[in-house]
Amino acid sequence: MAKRKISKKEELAYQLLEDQTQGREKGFYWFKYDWGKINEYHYSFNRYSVSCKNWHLTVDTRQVANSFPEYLDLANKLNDKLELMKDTIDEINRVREQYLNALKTHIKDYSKIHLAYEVLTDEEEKMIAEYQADPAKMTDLLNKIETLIKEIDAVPKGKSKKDLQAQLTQLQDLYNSVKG
Amino acid sequence: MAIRSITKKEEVVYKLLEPHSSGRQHNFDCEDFEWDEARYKYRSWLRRRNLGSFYVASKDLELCKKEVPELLPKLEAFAQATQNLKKAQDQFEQYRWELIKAGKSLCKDHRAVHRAYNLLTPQEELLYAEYKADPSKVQDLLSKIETLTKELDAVPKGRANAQKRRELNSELDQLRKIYHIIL
Repeated sequence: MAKRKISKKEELAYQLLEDQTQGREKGFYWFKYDWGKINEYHYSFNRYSVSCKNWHLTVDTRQVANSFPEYLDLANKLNDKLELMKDTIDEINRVREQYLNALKTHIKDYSKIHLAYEVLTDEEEKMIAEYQADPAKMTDLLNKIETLIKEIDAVPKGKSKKDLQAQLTQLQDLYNSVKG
Repeated sequence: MAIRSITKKEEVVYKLLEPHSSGRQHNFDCEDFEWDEARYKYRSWLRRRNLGSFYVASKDLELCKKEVPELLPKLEAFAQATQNLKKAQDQFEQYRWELIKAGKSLCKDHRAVHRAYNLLTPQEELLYAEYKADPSKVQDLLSKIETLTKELDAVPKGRANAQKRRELNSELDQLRKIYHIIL
């Protein structure tokens, strides 16, 4: 196929378009990026690649001033808005961190969050709050557990031992829930 | 291992943390978005997962208001920042689109931009400008090419007419070359 012939100005336009689109090889294809969904887009390689060839979206205003002075105003506006966007992303990073850290303070045991869980009933929550508010109650609970263990050891195998063990499990569960 | 018991509030916190972090199974890890490193950094799947969303869903705002109202000001500040980003992004994309449109309007044949090219010489550029300014000239050129092609076809074969054919061919090549430049 014969080589195309293009003007110098068209070649300069290619350079200008290169940064803002997917590039000449892809027909300067691009699509409007939704930065709010940035994490979802990045899962899709195609969408990522067609947004722009690189993330250096600042337009070289000197180049525009030399080649296309009629677009200089547009290029300046674009750069201003890009700076504004970068500032807002910095702001998002800052306030998001504050919000996430505040949320995390409500997690009882951070090292166990990946484990399965069940949600406490209202009664259970009340009971736990009660025990947490009164340390003497906690000591009582521990004493009860200790006494029951001794009792179980002393009882021979049979139905009564099973009942005592069920009682012990209940108390131990309560202790674990209160302690976290 | 016994299933953990958590409070309702903690469960709500899990729900609120989920979209803005890598999730509970990955310890709710979260990374700041670093613009300057974005092109390289987020090609890693792990990093992308840690990025989290920049959107605050209205249902999350409702949930926070109802269950953890003490965190509402922080979530509202975050939601406001995401709104600001949306506004800034809309303005940026508008100017970006205008600039791309302007750039594309300078391309002679947009369908051919992916192909290899040579630069026009200053004389060729002048010729191009001349023909572009006057579309009737292009018509004339096309008519000339047609006439010459017919003339060439009419020239009988044989050594006696070889010289004439060569001349016509060279003339036709020149006209085609001009047409190729202005096309």
